[in-house]
Amino acid sequence: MTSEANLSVAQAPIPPMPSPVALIRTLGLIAMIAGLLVVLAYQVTDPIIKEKELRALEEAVYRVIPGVDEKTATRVSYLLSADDLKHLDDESAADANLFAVYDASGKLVGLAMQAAAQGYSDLVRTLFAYDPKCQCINGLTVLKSTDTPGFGDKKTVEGNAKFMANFRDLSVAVTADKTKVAHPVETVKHGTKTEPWQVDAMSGATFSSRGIGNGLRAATDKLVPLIQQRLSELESIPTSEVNE
Amino acid sequence: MVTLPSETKPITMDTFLRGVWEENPVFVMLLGLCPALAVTNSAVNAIGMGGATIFVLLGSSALVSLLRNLIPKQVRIASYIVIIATFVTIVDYAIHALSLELYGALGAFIQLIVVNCVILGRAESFASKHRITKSLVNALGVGVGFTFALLCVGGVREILGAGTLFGFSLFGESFQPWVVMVLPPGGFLVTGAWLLVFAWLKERKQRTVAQREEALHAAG
Repeated sequence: MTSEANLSVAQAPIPPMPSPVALIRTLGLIAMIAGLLVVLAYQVTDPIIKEKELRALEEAVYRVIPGVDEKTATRVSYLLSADDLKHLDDESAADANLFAVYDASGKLVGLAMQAAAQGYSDLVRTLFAYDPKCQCINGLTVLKSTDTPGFGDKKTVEGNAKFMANFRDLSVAVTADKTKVAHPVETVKHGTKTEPWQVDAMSGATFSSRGIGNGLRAATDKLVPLIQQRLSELESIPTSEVNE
Repeated sequence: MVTLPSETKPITMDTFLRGVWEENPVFVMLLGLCPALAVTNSAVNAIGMGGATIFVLLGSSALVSLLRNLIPKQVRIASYIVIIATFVTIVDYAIHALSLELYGALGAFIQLIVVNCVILGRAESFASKHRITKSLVNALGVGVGFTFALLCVGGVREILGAGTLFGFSLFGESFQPWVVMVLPPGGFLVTGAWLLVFAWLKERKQRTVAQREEALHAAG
């Protein structure tokens, strides 16, 4: 920098420092405008988001359970724990860990549960159908997978007919005392499946297959014994749903 | 109210086009490369991110421009960030409400628009010195330029990596997708290729101008 430039910088008038009150007032005003806008956006979009999420979940539950007539079926959300089977309304359906679908006569058509386990790049989230009569998994859909496109993404997994065949009559039978799953779900290398509780991994996508298998194992180990213990309660639609 | 000399200049086509082409945020200024690489594995995601960025650019530029004489220099960056974060939160809710699929695909990158330097750059270098109309025109130009760049990258990646464009199959069942193109390395490869194209275009333009000047000198 030249000496003339230095001089001009030194002689430039320094703007007066605003008082701290003025700075706080400005930030307060901006924060207030920001808060109002965010709250307004939340108020407008929140009901729409909740409605869409509920519809998406309902569609996925109806899609994954075989033999559901969507026009007459009723979906009921439950929070199942060792001590309680709590019936949840639509507002709190996001907390549910068990979904039951009933036909027009109020008879249980099938059950669905969510599962999640580490895949290749992130958690692989699935929704699977459980048939309490055959004590088996009889349907699965991938809710979210960020694994490698062409190997472990939703489209590729669901398009792999051979892999999806694993989830027809996949045994999760409980022991005689209904306290645990007799043979937990196990993922085996591609082409080595020998038992009805084994998942034959996809060739080239072992981590994604394990993510799905491990998710099913964790969910079924926890919930299937409880479902079998409370099956009589689940077999008919709750009275509150009938009245609605 | 203080009127800066730059505020009195009229709005021209150049106010809009500068951001689209000459000062394209991605291909010329190399700004906002994080979303340009991360979410451009399909054309729809590119349009979604571009649309969200345009909304935030317009909203923040309008508010910064309106409040420009109220915001003291000392707290301007904090103020701009709060304003930008507000519009990012709004667009985050809006995309979530519009499409769960798009919201899932764009993921955390919608929230990360807050730290996109294209937007803070517009607030600091343009909206804080110009009137609202001019700021909006300039922000729209930059937003369109950003979306154009994302679409260029996303389109090529989707065509090569999935054999589709906007989800429509282009080459039929026999096409073997070049999967690496929809993976992170594909983002770098395609962005690099586009940067080469833009550098070549710029060099060609400079050469043409130089040749014309030489010809004029020779004739003179």
